[in-house]
Amino acid sequence: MAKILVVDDELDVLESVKMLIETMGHEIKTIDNGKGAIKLLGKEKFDLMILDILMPKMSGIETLEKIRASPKLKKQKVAFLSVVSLSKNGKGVIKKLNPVAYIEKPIDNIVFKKKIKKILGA
Amino acid sequence: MKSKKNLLLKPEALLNILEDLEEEKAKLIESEEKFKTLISSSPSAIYMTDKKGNCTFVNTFWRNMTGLTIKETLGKGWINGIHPDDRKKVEKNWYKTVKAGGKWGTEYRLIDRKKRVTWVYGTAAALKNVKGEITGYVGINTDITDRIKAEKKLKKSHEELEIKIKKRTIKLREGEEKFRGLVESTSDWIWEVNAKGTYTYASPKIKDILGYSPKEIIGKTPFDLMTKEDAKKLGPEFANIVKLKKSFSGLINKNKHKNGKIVVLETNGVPIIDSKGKLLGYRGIDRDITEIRQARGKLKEVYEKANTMYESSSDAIMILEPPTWKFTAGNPSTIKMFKAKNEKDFTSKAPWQYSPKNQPDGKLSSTKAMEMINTAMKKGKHLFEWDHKRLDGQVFPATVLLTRMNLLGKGVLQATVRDISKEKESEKKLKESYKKLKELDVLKSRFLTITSHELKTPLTPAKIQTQMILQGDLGKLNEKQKKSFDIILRNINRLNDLIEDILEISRVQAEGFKLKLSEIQLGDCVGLVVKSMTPVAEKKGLELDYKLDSLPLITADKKRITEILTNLIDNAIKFTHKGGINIEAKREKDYILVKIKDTGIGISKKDRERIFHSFTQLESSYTRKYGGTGLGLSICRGIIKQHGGKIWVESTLGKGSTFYFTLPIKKLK
Repeated sequence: MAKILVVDDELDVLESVKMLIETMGHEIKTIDNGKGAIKLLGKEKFDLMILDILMPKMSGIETLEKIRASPKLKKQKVAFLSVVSLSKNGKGVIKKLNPVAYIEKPIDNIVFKKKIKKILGA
Repeated sequence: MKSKKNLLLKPEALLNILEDLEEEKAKLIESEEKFKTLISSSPSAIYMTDKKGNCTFVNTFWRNMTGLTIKETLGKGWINGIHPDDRKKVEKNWYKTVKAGGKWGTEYRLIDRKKRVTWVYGTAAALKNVKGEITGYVGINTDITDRIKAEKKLKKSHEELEIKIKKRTIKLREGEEKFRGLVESTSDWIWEVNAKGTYTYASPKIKDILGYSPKEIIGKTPFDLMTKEDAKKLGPEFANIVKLKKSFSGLINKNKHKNGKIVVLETNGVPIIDSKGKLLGYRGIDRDITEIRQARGKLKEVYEKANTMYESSSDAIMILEPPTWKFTAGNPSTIKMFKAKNEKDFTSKAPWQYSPKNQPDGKLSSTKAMEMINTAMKKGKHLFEWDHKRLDGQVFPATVLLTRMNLLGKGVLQATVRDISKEKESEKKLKESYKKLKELDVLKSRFLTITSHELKTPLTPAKIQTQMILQGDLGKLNEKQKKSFDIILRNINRLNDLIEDILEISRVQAEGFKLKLSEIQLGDCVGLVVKSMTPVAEKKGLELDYKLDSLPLITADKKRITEILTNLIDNAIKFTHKGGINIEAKREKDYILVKIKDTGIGISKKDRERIFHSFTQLESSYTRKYGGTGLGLSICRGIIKQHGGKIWVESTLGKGSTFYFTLPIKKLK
């Protein structure tokens, strides 16, 4: 059993992803903003962080930049989950932040579960 | 004889005789004295000689002429008084004459020591004694210098006159030659008629002009050569001229060439009148003006055309002349365009006086105008845009065409000015609306992008939840519930596809869209797509074939090209129910042509024009029946356009459609 943190400003998305991951038998925590997520990461250890990109105040990119800049958190496994299809440029930006996966919304539940399993198994 | 008789006289008589003799002697002496005085003081040069011709005396005058003394002249000394050139001749002749007792009369020159020459006419008479014997000679030298001088002068002027006459004669002859040459070589015909109007002379040129030889003309009258109408018309006119013995010029008359053609002549003539004022005839020149008249007619036509154009052109046409480059003429449009009162009001100003101080590029109008003028003079023509200024101060944009022209041997410029205010205005509006459209397009793309992302967000939990329900994560479903959630999920997916396509279009149409180019073998792409689509076709019982020529490598975005092929083949399968789909690719000049032919339902003409445009053709009946978003062709078009190619369709309703697209072979940048 792994411990996963999901960050998304859309509560329905948060709840749905939570429900889906729970069917896999993992422990899950959710939060709707980047700043709070970083705080949480400082307190608890998570095997994986699933991070949305388009969020108000602090975007997923900014959030991950902060995480990578923090010596304590920089090795955190993070997977992006976004509606944005990446352009060539965008992919370059993302690559620097070294996420373990980039998953596009909306998701196919079966494909998603396989991906998570693979990330956690590695 | 008297003395012989007196020998017998008496002494008184003898005494008387002696007295008489004495008296005679005294008289003789007296007369001799008188004679001597006479000779000495004579204004003529006198000399005396003995019977042999040797000098015995010269008078003062002679001595004065020769500068010799009496003593020096004695004997043969006188010869020294003769001019050296005449000396021998005179000496020889003189002694010869004396010896023969002939008559002396000759001209020669005397000379003195100062080389002063006196021309004399010498005559001499014999002196005889009582017995009749010659005792000597007396001669006179008359000074004839003045006469000789006059004679010489006369001779000289005579000679000069003769030379002049000779020269004049030569000139006259030359003139005559020249005249004849002129007459014979001139392109004009020269003639002469007598008082009756009959030709008495015709220069050979008549042969060229009217086809007759001069011989054929002589004896005819001008009216014989003219056309009947002109002879009738000009007869009275000419009669009047003759009556008044007037000269005439520029008399235009139509004549018949020997070959029947009409020749128009311009006749000029002057009357020949004798010293008594009697008219002897006329002499004149005829010029063939047939061609000139034709040319003049054409010229007039051309002129009228040009003038009409000039007068009625809506463009302002004007002339500029060096060195000041002021306008010297302007057509009515010019006057109107520059708001001048009349042509005079317009001219005598230079172009920069009809311009604002500076042109839009900041250059001084006067400086730039000279640059334009120089360019036009150099190149012959120069077209450019120019800001002009009307006399009321209003500035307007114009196009100016400067054309170099030759006006009476002077290089001038014709300027054709067109007011393009309206064009500029509409161009500006067009630019503005284009800019607005562009902005709108960007807004549209941004709107589409944002909206699409926003749409995806609510789809995400809906899809997760629906899938969880269907996959039994939330408990078991009965058949009806399962069917219901299947429908929900299918429509969530359809909505998602639509959003994806909209995003794709925005992406492809966006300016920053970039292809991932590499060298690809189009045949490979076709093969792969056909392979992947074959099961779909087979499921519908359709044949899917392809034929590829050997194709060159092209630079293209492999993923996008595969997408296009998939899209087009998928469409073909979708809209074909019987028969099959055939794909061909071949090289045509500098591009590759791909052809996807189906035996499907076909596309109406109306739809053919619309299917490649996004959002214009979401004909819901198709999409409902066949699925898909209807945006695929629009995406294809965008991608092919980015590659520098074209896409189009040919179709017959009920028979099938053929989609074509091209991809350039040359490397894309």
